[in-house]
Amino acid sequence: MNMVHLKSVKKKFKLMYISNSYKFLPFWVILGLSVVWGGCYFGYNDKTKRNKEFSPNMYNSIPLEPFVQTVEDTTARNPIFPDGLNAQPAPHGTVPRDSWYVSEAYTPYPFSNTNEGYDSAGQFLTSPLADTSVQGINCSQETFNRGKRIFEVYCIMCHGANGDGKGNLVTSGVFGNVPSYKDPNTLKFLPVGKMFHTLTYGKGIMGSYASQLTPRERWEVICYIQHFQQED
Amino acid sequence: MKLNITLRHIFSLIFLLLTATLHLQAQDLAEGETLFKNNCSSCHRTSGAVLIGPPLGGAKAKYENDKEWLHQWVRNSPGLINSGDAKAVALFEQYNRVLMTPFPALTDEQIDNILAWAEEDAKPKVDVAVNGTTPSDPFADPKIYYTLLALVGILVMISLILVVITATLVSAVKAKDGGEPLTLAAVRTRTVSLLKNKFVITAIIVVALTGGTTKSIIEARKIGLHQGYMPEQPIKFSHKLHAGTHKIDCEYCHSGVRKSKNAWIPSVNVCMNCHKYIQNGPQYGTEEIAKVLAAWNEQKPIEWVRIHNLPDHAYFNHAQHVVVGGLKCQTCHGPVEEMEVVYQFSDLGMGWCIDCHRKEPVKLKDIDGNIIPTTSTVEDMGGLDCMRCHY
Repeated sequence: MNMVHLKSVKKKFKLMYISNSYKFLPFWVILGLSVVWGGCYFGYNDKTKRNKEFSPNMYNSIPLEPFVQTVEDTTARNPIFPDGLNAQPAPHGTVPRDSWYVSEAYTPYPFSNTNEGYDSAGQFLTSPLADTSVQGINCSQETFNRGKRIFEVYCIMCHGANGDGKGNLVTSGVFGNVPSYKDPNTLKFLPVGKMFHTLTYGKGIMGSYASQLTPRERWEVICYIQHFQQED
Repeated sequence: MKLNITLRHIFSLIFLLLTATLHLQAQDLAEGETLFKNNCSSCHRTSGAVLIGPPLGGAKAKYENDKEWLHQWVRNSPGLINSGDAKAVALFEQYNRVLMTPFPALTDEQIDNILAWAEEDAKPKVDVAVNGTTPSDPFADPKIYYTLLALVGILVMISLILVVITATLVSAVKAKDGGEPLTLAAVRTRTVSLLKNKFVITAIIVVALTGGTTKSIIEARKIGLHQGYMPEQPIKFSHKLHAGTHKIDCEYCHSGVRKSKNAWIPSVNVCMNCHKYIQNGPQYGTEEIAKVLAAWNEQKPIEWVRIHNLPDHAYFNHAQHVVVGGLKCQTCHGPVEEMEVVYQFSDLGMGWCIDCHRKEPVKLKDIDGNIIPTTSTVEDMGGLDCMRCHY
């Protein structure tokens, strides 16, 4: 019964669509052209533009995200802030909520970016990570290792792998002279407080690393730098 | 005769003296250059804008009558300021109250050499033209496409001429043999009859349909994936130069990669860590760096165009993958250190995520940080749960 039914359907189909009359020719032509055109349409890719998306409203966040300014419309502005950007700097004087040592959460950094501030930082500031019980270095081995990793990311290009101021950027002539941590005339006897002050505000052509390194990371890298000073 | 010899002697003496003084001067300048580069270059340029301190090019002329004071200043400027010397205090105030490092070891002569070299270096040089000879991508120039087009045109012309020649020859041969000469009308009838052939028609339709469908399916699978997306950025920042040639770690600028969901795009102050000093690049000269400086001076953020962007319905965390997973940036982002212009390397589709979660073994670390080899994958730890990423 089924077979017969199928056969009759097939015959009907043949009669309807593939008959000798060209009644359905436009239908087939349009179908074929649309398939071919579809391939070309989706295949066309301007690499400076984003690809087509099936449902853009599921792709692009409706809430404002700090690291996505605009995706679909490059001229779109955030109506809430005057400069129209989603990413906003923290208000002046903001302190991190989950600061690692409590005093920092209430007093951001006591010294100002002046020569006097630099001197008093050298005089009064000591490392909260200092641990004299460890042999050879001034902090725990774990802190030292973390400091080494940070040094190799942020400092090594200029200050060099050996702390001698002969980093890749200096030897290739991009930067001028960088003082050595081992030179008694420059940095060998630099107190940790002055190092922290320099990392926070920058000094000379060295910029401030406050936006890249948290205070804890700054003290960690200082611990690593101290071992250069102690060498030789 | 005697006179002659004396004259020759005098000339050679003068020549000797001249070369000697020239040589002496050159040596002084060379010493000055070395000293300048080793001691002064981190805060002073020879000409142009104020870096930390003023450019040294004009110092020699300015303090011509006051050399003694200048030598004193170089050797011990903080002392001079503390002693209340009016000129020293004025200078200190003028340049943002930044103390100059004292150089007690430099002699008068060395200081003079440095200043002499600085003056020499500050003179406008004959530019040996980096401008005309910048190595650039030949395909970036639109002219090359016109040339290519012209070449293709010439080739088409040649083939047309060849066809005409052959046709003439063939018809000539046929005419000689006494057969029918090949006419345009005959060619047309044959082509029409070929096109009316049912088999040919079917073949054309089948090929077009299968080809079109395949292409459609292949391309439709890429909808929503942005692999190869390479937008133009507001500044022609070269990762190849910064991360490749200068070997600056990715994390230097993308500092959030170990702390946060996002890897962070550096704010302008991070650029200024180096570009306070470097204001002339090897590829675009001062043109592109000037945009960074302008952004810094106006305190206006640079609006980079975001390339890698997961859909809002998928959660991805950089810190999780870099710190815990121990992945390298290049695993997903490709050889960024070789990219002049950054493009999206992976397709960042779900299939791509799942693939890695199924295949890559988890890196376990013991208490000393040594990696223990395992055969477990993220899948074994529930890394394929829907709610791991979609929530």
